[in-house]
Amino acid sequence: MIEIQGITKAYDDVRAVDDVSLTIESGEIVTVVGTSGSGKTTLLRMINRLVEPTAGAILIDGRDNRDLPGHELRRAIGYAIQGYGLFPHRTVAENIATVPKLLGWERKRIDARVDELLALFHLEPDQFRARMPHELSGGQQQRIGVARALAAEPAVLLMDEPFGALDPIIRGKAQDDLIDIQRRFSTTIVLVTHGMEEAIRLGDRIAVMDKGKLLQFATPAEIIAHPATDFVAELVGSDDRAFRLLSLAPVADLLEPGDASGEPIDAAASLKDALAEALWSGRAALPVRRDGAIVGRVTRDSLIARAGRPQ
Amino acid sequence: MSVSFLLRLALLVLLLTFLANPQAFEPVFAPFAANGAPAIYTQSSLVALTLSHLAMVAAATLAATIVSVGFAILVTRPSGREFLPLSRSIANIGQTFPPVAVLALAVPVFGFGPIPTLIALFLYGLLPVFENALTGLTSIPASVQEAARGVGMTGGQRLVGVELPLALPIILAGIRLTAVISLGTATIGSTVAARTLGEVIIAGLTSNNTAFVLQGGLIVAMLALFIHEGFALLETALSRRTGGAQPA
Amino acid sequence: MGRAQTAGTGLAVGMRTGTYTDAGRKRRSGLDRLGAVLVVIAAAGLVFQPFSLVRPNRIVAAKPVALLSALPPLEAGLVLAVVIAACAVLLFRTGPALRLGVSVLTLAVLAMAIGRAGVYLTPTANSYARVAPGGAFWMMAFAFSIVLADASARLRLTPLSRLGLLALIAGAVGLLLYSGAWDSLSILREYANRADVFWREARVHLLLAVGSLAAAALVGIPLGILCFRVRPLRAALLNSLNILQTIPSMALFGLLIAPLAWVGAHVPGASAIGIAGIGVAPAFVALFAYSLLPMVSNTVAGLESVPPQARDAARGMGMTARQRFFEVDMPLAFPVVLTGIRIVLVQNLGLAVLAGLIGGGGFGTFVFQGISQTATDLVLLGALPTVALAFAAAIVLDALVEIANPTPARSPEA
Repeated sequence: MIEIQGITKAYDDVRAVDDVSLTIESGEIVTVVGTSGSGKTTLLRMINRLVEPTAGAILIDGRDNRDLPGHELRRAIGYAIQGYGLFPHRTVAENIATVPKLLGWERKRIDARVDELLALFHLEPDQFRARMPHELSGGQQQRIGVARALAAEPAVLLMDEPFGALDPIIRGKAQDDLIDIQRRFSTTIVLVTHGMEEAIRLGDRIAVMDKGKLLQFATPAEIIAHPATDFVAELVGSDDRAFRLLSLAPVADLLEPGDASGEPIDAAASLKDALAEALWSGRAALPVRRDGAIVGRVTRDSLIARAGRPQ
Repeated sequence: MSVSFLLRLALLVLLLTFLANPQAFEPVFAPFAANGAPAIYTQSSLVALTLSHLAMVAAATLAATIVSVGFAILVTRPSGREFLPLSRSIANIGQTFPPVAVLALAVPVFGFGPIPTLIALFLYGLLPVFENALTGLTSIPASVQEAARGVGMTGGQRLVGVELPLALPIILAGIRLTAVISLGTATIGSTVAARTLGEVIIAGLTSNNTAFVLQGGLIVAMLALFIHEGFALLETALSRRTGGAQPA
Repeated sequence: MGRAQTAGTGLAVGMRTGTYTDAGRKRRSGLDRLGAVLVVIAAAGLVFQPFSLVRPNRIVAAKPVALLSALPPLEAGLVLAVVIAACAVLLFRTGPALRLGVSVLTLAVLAMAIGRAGVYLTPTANSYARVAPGGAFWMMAFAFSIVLADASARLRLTPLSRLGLLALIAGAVGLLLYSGAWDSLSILREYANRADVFWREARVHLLLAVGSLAAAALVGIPLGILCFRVRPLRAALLNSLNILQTIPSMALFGLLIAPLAWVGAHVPGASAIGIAGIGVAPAFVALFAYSLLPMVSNTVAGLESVPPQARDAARGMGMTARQRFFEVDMPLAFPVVLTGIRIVLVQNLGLAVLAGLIGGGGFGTFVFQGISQTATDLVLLGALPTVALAFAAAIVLDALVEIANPTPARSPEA
């Protein structure tokens, strides 16, 4: 659990972060979204003390993050950034092993962890271990960057626009991978992004910031349905918020017994995909499939009803 | 095994043969010696002069490297940052001092012999290394530095583990520049009685014997070439490893 | 949720609400560390080193004289007071403009004091006595020059104001020389003995340095353009020029003696225009040869630095090849070419000293004469103008390069 208590960072007279308080529960993904200059990155960097706050405190699992020297604190917190910051003079394996080495792990344990992480990120260990960063594609570099951040099994992972430089298809895959990994290790993740799309897709809860202030901190559904200010509404985009809402939940949520004809849809697909398919194929209901067997149907009317503003 | 590599190898063999047995090359230099003067310099052994020349250059370059890299590290730390603009301008000013003038100004203070030459070579060698070390240490990508801090490296660990290795090819280029300049400048040291290959050239100049000038000049030029090439190879190997640009 | 906790084992857990002192914030008052170092240097010089060195004649050992005995009591006290006041300003964090003013003022006072000391210490009617500046003078001059350099770097003076500052200092030095305030110093005694020779050698020195630069520019810039256009030529030419640079300057000067002597003797009219084995000709040719590489390579680099988009846009707008070259390529490449000229000029002013070794004249004449006679003042008479010229040339051309550069790329200073 990360408790941010009235944190402020002032540069001369400008308050980059202005009296922000929020509590992040263990094992959740919180996305921090805002325009550039909103203070979101500064907020993130105060958690691992790359930036020292002017006022306020941050508690990680009840412990003030100033109890430890900054560098020791940072070894216990994963950190992945835009541009990845891989060390160009070290191999992939050495890059991933950075923090375990700093912590003085045994050689064997480090090697095993490196291989485990490479495999986890779909990179063949034998093939990638000895490569240099410049020999990797952008997507591979990004994965190594996250693998390095996770190497010492941190309980908290901070990410600053980690997918910013990836093209849309690779970014989608990288986001899926991140969600998988988060579920597996139940790491607490704080992720900064400027895209509401990404914030909604990844965040269990979203913190919206503007001009150093925290405007709203709520679940994606809440933010879409009840934006706290006009700025938040604008950020969400009023045109397609109905579809955004639908994209948050899987078909399984609206599964009902009954039959339908035509091509079935997967129970894990989003409601948005189901509605699109129903509209496109002109069907009032779609059969739903789970593990290869038809388990029921989802109707167009229920989808449309779900897209309305929650009360 | 390219042609140019074989050519260099042949040159190296030629140089070593000449140093080992200069008299064998007497017919080559004889046409340049004026009316009956000796064609090969024999007052001192060429090998001894070459070794003393190289030792002087090596000592000055090593000292210059240690001092200037140390200073560059100092002014790129947070606590030394306020000295950065000044050290930049001192480096710029220093580079405008002609090496001959540095040598000439060192003589009144340190007298004749190897000391003023060493001092001049050391002073003149400081600047290229300092300049390059500064460039290397300040041009590390921001994301890499951010990551190094973010994973919890201390200042010392960042310096030794990240900054210096990444700056190394550029620092080496500075050392190469210093070594090559010093190699040429050291010859001037013989005007103040330092034992260098300049002795051969000066003997040629004063006795109007082009053969001496030629052999002294050629030895120094070849040494410079090999040192240049050796460093360049090292730099290329290092920066290829990190995927960086080839050093100039 | 283990790691973050285990890392903190053994440390007090509690909430602190105290504010942090911002590590990056500039202290607005207190000791200036650079100033402190320089004050120590100046003070050490003042205490442990003589202000002037007096020798009854050119040969014998010098007698050190401290500041307080080098001047009449009142003047000595005044100089001491100025230096102490200046040190006090430097010791604390003060604005760069103030520091610039203080350093200029103190240097001026020191310059006048060293001249006055010469007059004061020279016994009347003794034309053999020599008074030279001592360690205290040099160390204080060094310390305050560093302050001057630091303050002007911090002020980020515009190119024009840097030129102005240079003109001011040159004017002041000129005035001191002209007024005769330094006439009693040993280096000027040396000058007085050979004033006409000095100016002749100065002209030769400038002719060697600037003339060979002009010749190298005339040849090197077209060669550079050619290299840029004909790729196969580039590597070959730049490599051969690179090898030329590795030949030690002294040897190159010497090696040119024989061929030029031959040309002077065998080519009709050659000796009439001054081509001979010794003298100016080999020095000129050697300097020209050394200048070629920077000229050619900077021209190539300048043309390479022209953004391809600019060239493409020029083509797209229908400019002819000639128009593109004169209106896009050359203006954009010019600052880099000018940088090449700066490198060559500063380098040539220094290397021209070596002409003194082969009878080519220039300030090197005094340097090498001085070395062979172990006459420090004579060495200084050759070396100081050389250093001053190279230094002034660097400042002037740096300013010009900056003015020529449409997008000043001055790195932000921390």
